[in-house]
Parts: sequence; C-alpha cells; structure tokens
Amino acid sequence: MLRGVRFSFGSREVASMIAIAFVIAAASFAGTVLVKQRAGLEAPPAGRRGELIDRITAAEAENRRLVQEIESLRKRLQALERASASGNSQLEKLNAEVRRLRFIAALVPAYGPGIVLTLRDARIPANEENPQNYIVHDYDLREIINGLLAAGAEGVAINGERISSASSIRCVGPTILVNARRIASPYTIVAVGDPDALSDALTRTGPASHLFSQVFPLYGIQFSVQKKARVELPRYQRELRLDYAKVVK
Amino acid sequence: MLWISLIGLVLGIGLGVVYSVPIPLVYAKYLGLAILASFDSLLGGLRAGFEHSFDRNVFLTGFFFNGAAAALLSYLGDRIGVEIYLAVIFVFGTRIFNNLAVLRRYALSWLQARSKK
Repeated sequence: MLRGVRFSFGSREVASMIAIAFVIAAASFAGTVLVKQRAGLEAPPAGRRGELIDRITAAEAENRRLVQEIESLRKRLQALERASASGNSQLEKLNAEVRRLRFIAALVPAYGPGIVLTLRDARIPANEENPQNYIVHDYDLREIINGLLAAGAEGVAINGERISSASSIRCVGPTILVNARRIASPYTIVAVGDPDALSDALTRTGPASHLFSQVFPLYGIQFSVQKKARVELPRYQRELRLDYAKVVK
Repeated sequence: MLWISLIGLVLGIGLGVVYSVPIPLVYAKYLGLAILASFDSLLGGLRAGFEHSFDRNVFLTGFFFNGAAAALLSYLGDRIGVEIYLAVIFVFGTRIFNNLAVLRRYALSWLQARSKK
C-alpha cells in the first residue's frame, strides 16, 4: 500500500501551491477570528471592565450633582414665585393654591406623626434550594405600601424615595427599583398618619399583616415597627409629567 | 512542499490576530462548523499527498464545498428544527480522527525508515 513515505502534491505547479497556501490561510484566519471572538465573549478583558466601572462611577457622581442642582433650582423657582406674587392678592392666592397642590402631590417634603418600619433580608442558609424565600421582594413592599395607604397614611417613603401618584416599585434582577432608583436591604419605610392605626393595620389587620405574622418570622426576615410623634418625608424627586392626557372640558 | 502550507497557516493566524472581523453570534456557530469541515479537507489533502493521489481540484472543491455545505445544512436544519449540525460534527469529526490515524501511521513509517538509514 505504501509506495515509500514521500509527500507529493502530484504536480509541482506553482498554482497548486498558491491554492493550498491560500486555503490554509483562509481556514486559519477564520479559526483565529472565531477563537478571538469567543475568548472575548467569555471573559471581558479586565481593562474594559475597569473602564466600565469608572464610567458608571463618573455617571453616578454626575447624577448626584445634577440632583443637587435641580434641588437648588427648585428652591430658587419657588422663591421667585413668592417674590413676584407678593403685593398682588390674586397671584398670592394662586401661589398658595400651587403650594397646597404641590404638598398634596408629594412634591414638597412633609412631616407629621407616623411610623417607621424597617425590614432586613434574612441570612440565606447554606444549601438552601429556594433562596427567594429569605429576601424582601418588590411585591412585599407593594403590599405593605398599599396596606399603609389603605389605613390612611398621608405620605409614604421607602429608603428616601417618596411614593407619589407616579411612583413605581419594581423588581429588576436582584435589586428593587423604587421610582427607578435602586434600593437594597435594609428597607426603611416611613409613613405619616395616625401611628396606632398604621401600626395596627400593618401587623394585625391590614392586607399585609400575613407577612408580619407568618412569612417574615418563618424565614427570619427581621422587622421592627416604631410609632413616632414626628417623622419626615422627602419630596418626590422626579417630575410629574402628563404628555398625552388632556383636561376634559 | 509542506512549507507552503506552513506559510499559509502563519499568514492566516497572523491576519486573524491583527484584524478582527465581527461575526454575528447567530452565525458564529455555522462558521465553526464550516471550519470543522474545512479542517477535515486539509487533513484529507495531507493524506492524499502522502498517498501520491493529491489532486488540486479535488482538494479545492472539497475544501469550499464541504465547508459551505456544513454551514448551510446546519443553518437549514436550525430553521426547520432538526439538529443537522450534529450530523456535521459526527461525520467530519469521525473523518478527522480517521485521517489523523492514517497520517500518524505515515509519520511513524517515515521515522522508522529514517532511523534505519
């Protein structure tokens, strides 16, 4: 079978050699490109990751600065409103109405008697099959907020995010977004209203009471409810916008 | 005449390292299968060279046709929900190992013939 071990392309034409070189080059090029791409997919280079972290940190710092700027501009706006209205009884009346509506719409900070509820995720036991049970979920928070509002709370905030008519409490991956801002355990829920009624509704009679009597104790989620003579609520930070709705005449 | 293949190999890898061609993830799989088929053609060509039956046209058509067929059939299979790519992996995988086994034998007899001299 073996006619002596010698390698041969049959004819030693230059065209054959070029064709073979070209084909091998094409195959190894495609292979290398594919290997490079896969390697890039599996582990983003440390340099790029660091760069992304830097960009996020910078964006967050810029965000904080802009929030402060918005706050100072709002103060100036309100001062200007008051100043331009002074002396004109018509405008003063309108201005008072604007302030009242802002207050109702949660667009200004508020204070009053109320309760402070804190919740802390439980430690997840090793080898636990369902770690979901040991953490506070967005739907837990929604149920608690609904219970507080049903019991007559006049204003509620979670971790410094005031709940307004346009608020959202959503779950995104492992974190909870309140008003599109990321929050995490421990959760501090502040509510203004009759402290006894709120506390009662929360843990004994309201729609969320089963959480406090059964679910949280079972999984070791820590909570405490404190009645207070004075609690403070921040303002709702975002704009209340109506882009599509119009007034019915 | 093997050095010409080495030049091609080095050239191809070099170009691949220097230039990046983004391949859409959906198609990366088919390119991989095409490379598998082409690799089989390369080994087949090497084997044919040792057997003095190398034919340039057979080699070139086999290289491109097998690669394209592997990619296209797998693509078609994925469209209709049949995993034809498994057949590509099986057929060309088997052939690659067969070719490698034959090439190993040629390499061994070449080494033995040399040591006798």
